[in-house]
Amino acid sequence: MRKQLPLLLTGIAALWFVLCKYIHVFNATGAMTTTDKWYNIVIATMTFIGVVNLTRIHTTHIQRRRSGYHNSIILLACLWGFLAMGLYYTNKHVNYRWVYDATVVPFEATMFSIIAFFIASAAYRAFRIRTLEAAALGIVAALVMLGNVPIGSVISGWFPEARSWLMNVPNGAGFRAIRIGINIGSFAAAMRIALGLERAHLGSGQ
Amino acid sequence: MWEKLQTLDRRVIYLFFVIALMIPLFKPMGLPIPIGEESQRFYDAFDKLAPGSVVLMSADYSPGSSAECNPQFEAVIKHAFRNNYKVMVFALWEQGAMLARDIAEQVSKSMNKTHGVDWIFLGYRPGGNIKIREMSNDLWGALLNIDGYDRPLNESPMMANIKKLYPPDIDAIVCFSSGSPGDGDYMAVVTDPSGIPLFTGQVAVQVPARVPLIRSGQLAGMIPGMGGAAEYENLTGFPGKAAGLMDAQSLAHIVILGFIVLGNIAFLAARKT
Repeated sequence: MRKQLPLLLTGIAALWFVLCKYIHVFNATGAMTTTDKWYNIVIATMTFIGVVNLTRIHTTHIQRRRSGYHNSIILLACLWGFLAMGLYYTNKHVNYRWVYDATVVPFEATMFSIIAFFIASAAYRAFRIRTLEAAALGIVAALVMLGNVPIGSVISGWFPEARSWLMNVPNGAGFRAIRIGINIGSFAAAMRIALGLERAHLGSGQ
Repeated sequence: MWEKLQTLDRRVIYLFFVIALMIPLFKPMGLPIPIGEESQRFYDAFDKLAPGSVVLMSADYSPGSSAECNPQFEAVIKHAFRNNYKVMVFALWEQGAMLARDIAEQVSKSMNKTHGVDWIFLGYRPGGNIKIREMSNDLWGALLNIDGYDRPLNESPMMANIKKLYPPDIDAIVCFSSGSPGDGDYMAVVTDPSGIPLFTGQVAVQVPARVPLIRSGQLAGMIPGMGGAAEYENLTGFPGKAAGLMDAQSLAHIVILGFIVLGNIAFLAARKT
């Protein structure tokens, strides 16, 4: 029953969504709209379960003084602090906005900015012309990089044109094929989950 | 020597990178910014909308992508206000809502646009494409009848005739996206079934994946990264931050390419010896 019930619920929910989408009667009676509202409630509940689970895991880290437990203290303080602040002030209050703009925005921007430095050093080590394919990759990367910035057009008007051709023709063809493959694969994976053929998310059952 | 050069300390690379990024701060280069075909296509198609058109601008990005998407958002909302479109500012990402709200408030103040009449902030709503579908059936219900400032929607005159996120109530969607949910969700639920144009501003890493969608006509236009934002600022004639930042990006690209060439020279020389 522990595995059969979730599989049954998944199958019923998937069938319901398909019926609501493709059978006009279900859509016209507002069943789809009601289902969408329930979806939002379920997502919110799942998010809260995630928060509780995260708290449980990191509290265990702190209690057992595992390596890096001070990071767990900071995480829990920020997580519950923001939650409390949001509940008390609401996210439209000037105090909440100030804390958000002073912490989350610069932290997240910094994390992404650090990636640029990592890319620079990784590119230096990775772009070695060992084979013909590596040479093609390196040359195309250089053309696209120079075509994307103003200094490329200052050096030569040919760089933006080369970049445009590379993006529209070979890249366009490649990504078209990738998209088709991804969408077919996603559909197949969704069908497997809906039909109960995919059970990895249910755990080992021990 | 060549082997040592191949295993150069990464801090040397970081140092050159930092210098390249800092130089334009003290000495702007003012490099000319040629207009790319994607930005031109976006501008031409967006400009063709009739005055009074209802445009949803969705800020689906986080602060990490704000360096690229904020200038795009600012340039497009200025264009929309100049052409007297009715703008609805919305977000499927919570951080995007806050970033877009700040820009919309600043720009609307400078261009004398009134909230509730010329533009409206609808805020953030969770749910991705499910929320978009809800909004396409019943916009007011999906928003719980309040805007992003918690004011009732019936207090905003511009919302009187906008009941669904679907034509004829809306005329175009502009989605500034750095991931999912984003433009793909609007495409699947609203613009592909209805035929209204979908415009997008993308972070540079997602641009290659969007090119086939422009070829197929599913995207009416795309602003590619910060370079595209700088081009759009040129096209609209509204100066912004992107044009100045392109000097730093240009030098950064030159530094990366320079090190790649150096690394390959060292690699080939080491192989010979």
